[in-house]
Amino acid sequence: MNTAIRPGGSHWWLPSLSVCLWLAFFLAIQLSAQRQFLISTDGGASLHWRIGGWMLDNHAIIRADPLSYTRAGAEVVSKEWLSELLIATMGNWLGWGGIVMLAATLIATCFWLLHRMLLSEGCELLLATGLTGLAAAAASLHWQARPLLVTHLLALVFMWQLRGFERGRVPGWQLFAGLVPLMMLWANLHGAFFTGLVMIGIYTAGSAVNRDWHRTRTLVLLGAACLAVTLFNPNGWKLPAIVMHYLRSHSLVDQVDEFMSPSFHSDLIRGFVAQLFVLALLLLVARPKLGATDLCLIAVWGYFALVSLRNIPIFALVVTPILAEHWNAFFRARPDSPVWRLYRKVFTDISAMDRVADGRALMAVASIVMILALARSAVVTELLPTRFPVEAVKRLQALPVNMELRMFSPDFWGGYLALVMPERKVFLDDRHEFYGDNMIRDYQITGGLTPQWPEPLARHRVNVTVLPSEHALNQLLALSPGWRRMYSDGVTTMYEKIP
Amino acid sequence: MADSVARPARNTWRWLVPSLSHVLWLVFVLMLLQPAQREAMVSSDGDTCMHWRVGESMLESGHVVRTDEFSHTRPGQPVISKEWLAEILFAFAGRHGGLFGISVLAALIIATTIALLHGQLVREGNDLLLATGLTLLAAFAASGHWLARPHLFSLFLLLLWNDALRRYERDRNARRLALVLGLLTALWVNLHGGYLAGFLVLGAYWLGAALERDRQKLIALTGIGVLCALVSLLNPSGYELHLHNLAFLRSDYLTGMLGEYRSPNFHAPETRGFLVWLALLFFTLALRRPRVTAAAGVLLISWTYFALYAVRNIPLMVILTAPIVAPSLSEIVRGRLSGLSQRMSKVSACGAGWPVVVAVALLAITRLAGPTEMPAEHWPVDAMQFIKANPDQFRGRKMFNQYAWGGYLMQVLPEHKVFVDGRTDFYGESLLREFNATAGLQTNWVAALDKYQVTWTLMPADHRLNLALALTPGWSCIYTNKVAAMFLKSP
Repeated sequence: MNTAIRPGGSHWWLPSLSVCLWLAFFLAIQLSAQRQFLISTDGGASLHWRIGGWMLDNHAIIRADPLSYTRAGAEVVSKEWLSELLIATMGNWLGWGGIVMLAATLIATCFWLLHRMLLSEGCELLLATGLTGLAAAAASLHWQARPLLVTHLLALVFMWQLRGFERGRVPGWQLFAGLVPLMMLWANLHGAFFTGLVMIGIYTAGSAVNRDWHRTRTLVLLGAACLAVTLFNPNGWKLPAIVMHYLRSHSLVDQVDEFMSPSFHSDLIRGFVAQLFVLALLLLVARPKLGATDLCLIAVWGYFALVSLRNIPIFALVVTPILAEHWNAFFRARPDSPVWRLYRKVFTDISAMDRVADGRALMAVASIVMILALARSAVVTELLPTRFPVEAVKRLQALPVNMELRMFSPDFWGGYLALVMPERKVFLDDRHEFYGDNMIRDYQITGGLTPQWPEPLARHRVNVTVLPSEHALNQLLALSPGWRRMYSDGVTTMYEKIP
Repeated sequence: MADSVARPARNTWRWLVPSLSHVLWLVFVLMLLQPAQREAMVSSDGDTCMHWRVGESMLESGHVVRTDEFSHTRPGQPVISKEWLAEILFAFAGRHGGLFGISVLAALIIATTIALLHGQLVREGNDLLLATGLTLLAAFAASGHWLARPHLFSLFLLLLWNDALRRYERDRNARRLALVLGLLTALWVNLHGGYLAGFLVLGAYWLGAALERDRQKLIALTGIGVLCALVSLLNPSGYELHLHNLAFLRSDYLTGMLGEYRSPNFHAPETRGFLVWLALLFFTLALRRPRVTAAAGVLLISWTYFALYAVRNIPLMVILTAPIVAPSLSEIVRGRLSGLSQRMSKVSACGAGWPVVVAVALLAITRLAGPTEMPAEHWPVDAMQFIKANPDQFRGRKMFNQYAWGGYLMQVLPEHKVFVDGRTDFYGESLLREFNATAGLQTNWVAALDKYQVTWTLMPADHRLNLALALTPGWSCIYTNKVAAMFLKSP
């Protein structure tokens, strides 16, 4: 035994618990049904692949809309062009499996880093693993193969560095050297880069409350530098301006499910509920003395999570180190008892083993194996055919290419239709901020079956509708004399306008 | 010195000086009886009218409703009457004052609950200023669910229930607790289906006793729980009431149809009070770090979850958590505003001026008495005039109506039976699926119209069903205004 595991050394073949977690997330996501849900929740993954593919084909960043006929050629402010390039590269190389692999890598790396962070802050191994699992359960409700996964990862990196700075482990220069370039990258990867600025703002407020003016000054400068570098993107100042406009526009944001408050009836929310329970238990049982920054982090991100479920993963990542620190202190202060002695003995042994384990090479091995499996089609990933008009599209593709097709379809199918029928243009897709209030209103008038429902169809000269079979508009079209049914299956029903 | 000042006041003037709880009661009665507020209380949905109509039927017949007499879709089917006593009270108030009378009843229950909460906080030794501020904040958080419906009795009874349990925690008088909870149970099971909340709270105290390994308390609470369970059978439906309520709560489809069973939408202005309350709880626990009993901890966690699960639980959660956080917050106030607070406490403690307050309230009620109507801009008030003016067009025909309007139609059109109304638990999942298929214009939307031989519809003017009927041969629009549209099927 002693010859196999050398104390103080590291073993590439023996994975640490952090690496085990990475492998578990990386493989479980790609080899389970989760891989289909990751790309099938809405049309976002298809849309990003299509846009990234356009940029790869044209060797240019998208500036004018090539996807829709309703806003054809209108100016596009690309919020996540770099992510879209990555998604399209992986998609073109390995198909949907490649995009899932990219998403799985981001998710696994995020929770691997979280686990490493908790251990580096002195948290006991079992507690760190349990809390990381809990955070993953809470965050999993928003795991989708979309650029937002980059935001989860970068938010964690920001928090790790800022926590380290607040506790004197990270010097100021390192904070600047690390976070400013990362913020520049973030502004090109995903529109939620404001998350990083909110984090810096909270730590600045925390330092100010503690009257630590030196750190406050450093953080103010850091915030200013990070804000400045967000302008290094293809659209300059327009990017932050359009993100702010979007977030302030109720008519746009209210159309998006992920901006809604979480429903506590949903099974997906259970991880979040469990994390809130652990937090409440901490406050009631351990009664820790929370610092001003930690208080602000919990309050601000708790509020954001209750307002919009898309913020739950960030809340989960932010609150976990706080839970770890104080539960760890609480457990260490417990009076001695046989149960605690057994607990400590078992986990002292496991921790000792974990300290000499490494196994990061296994992460590379697993990645290579997955690439080979995907390249040889040993693992096939496709969109869920029950959620997208897969069969209906075949009918549309059989239509003469020169026939003008002006489709009306739901926003969540727009990305898919744009991807599989690049020669056709869509009514609209998930880019609500691009389409703007007027188009969204038109979409709601018809899709929401208001009394004026035929007007947008006439105004945009729609000649085919592609809708989920249960959509109520199909019933009205069936009764309308100017329309006839051209296709129907369990998923999709299409009506065409009689010439 | 203090005694010499207080004694004359106690002896001579105390019947003229109201305590702060009395003042709060009066303020809320007056506030809730303002025209806009009383209209909001009775017209947020059709259930106020529905309860009034059901209660009226019981007053007329002299017995509890056992079978349905209001719908044409489930006529004669057995009815489990969850809140017959409340409905009789509503009908009594309605008979004497119409919707105004019902709004007075609702205002009195709400104001009394608020005043009792204030009294409880003060009696438990909390600072008067803090107790007042906390009560006002609790009222703000709970105000989203101030509707003239039997659930108001649940707020009132839960407060008394929790107060009795808290008293027991202090004095350990199990006999009194058994008497109080037994009486409250007998009332609650006949007033509102929310009596299950009382059992959940009792369960929290029981769990708290188990966690603290308090054997004496555990035995007492177990015995009282059994007693309350037995007393709960004293209702017109016996044990079937419990089975019925549990079946309803277990049906995600039925509860999902009701807005009040949804999680709070934190984008909406009406949840701001709840959000402030959650922030208050968090900062009190995090900054003051109070030592709370195990039962209080269980109540805090469980009812915060229930409130996040369904908005209808927010007022209950506020009532239960206010006494838990009040002591920690009192310490802050005592340190800073002790002089002012003590002076106010002396005056308030001497005051017993409830007769004055009641007299003012009675005066205000008689002066404020005025027409309280369902607003014509949201309810098919004008459409009712049309129906009454053209009775032959509708005689002997069956209607399909908007779900939320069902109760209103029951009240104003007793000669016509409704397709559906707010009694979701009575109609059941099967019929409501049929209703939703038609109202939602699903593939089989005509099936329910055919099955129930519907020949006229009354729906909101912009409803999608109207669009389909306008395109359907055999149907024609006979009435429309900004609120409602009616379609009639040709014979």
